Amino acid sequence: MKPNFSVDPSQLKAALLEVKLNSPMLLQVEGAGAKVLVNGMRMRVPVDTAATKNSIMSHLVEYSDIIVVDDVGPETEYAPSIEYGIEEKPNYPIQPFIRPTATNDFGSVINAIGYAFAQLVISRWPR
Amino acid sequence: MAAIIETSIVSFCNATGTILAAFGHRITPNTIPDGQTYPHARFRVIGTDQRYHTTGEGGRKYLVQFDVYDDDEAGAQANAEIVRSAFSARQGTMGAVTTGQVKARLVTTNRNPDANNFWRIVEIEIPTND
Repeated sequence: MKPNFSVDPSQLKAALLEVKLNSPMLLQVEGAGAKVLVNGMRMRVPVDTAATKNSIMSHLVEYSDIIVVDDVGPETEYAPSIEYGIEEKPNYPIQPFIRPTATNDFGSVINAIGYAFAQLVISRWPR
Repeated sequence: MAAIIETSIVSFCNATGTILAAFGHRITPNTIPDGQTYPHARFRVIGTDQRYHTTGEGGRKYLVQFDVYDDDEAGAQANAEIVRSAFSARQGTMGAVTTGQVKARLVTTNRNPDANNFWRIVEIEIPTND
């Protein structure tokens, strides 16, 4: 025998509409995930002068009440060579730090965003 | 564990007709031997992620960078696509490991005018049961 569940999400939907998300709130939620990525890349990047490490940051491309686009990563010109390799020296060792962060920290990013969103909703929940 | 996935990838490439026809046996892990003729490829495991479930370890995900080299751009492009399509959505036995659905994508292209070669990258994510 299979159990049957019936859920009426109408009140939840109505309450979420009452929260009235706007762009500063979305930035707050997105920022939590971006910080995880920045920390992950800074932890993994090889350091000589620390120029690449210090350049890793969040770069907002677009944000509105419904969408946030953020390029998180380094700014130095040679960062792609660290990540992918050097075309003139195929056997030169690579030290990837962007893709391993994206792969390994994906769950932590989702958790951070989810937690920030939950805190935001709770703080603005109609009482 | 990286050694197992490396030998498994080489075994898979040598057992896949399209890849074998394109590269022969000129696919190597980590370094390209001196004097290797075109086209050839080299792959490097650039990350692993251990997965867990409620009763313990639940397999790994390997991130692999596949560097394809050729002496003309069309060849590099075509051979990279051969690698991508052979790995993409692959599921089951790969050498000594069993894989879930493999993701593969083309990333970028470059030309080295001094060596007169063309370089194409394929990124591959391989979830395994090891």
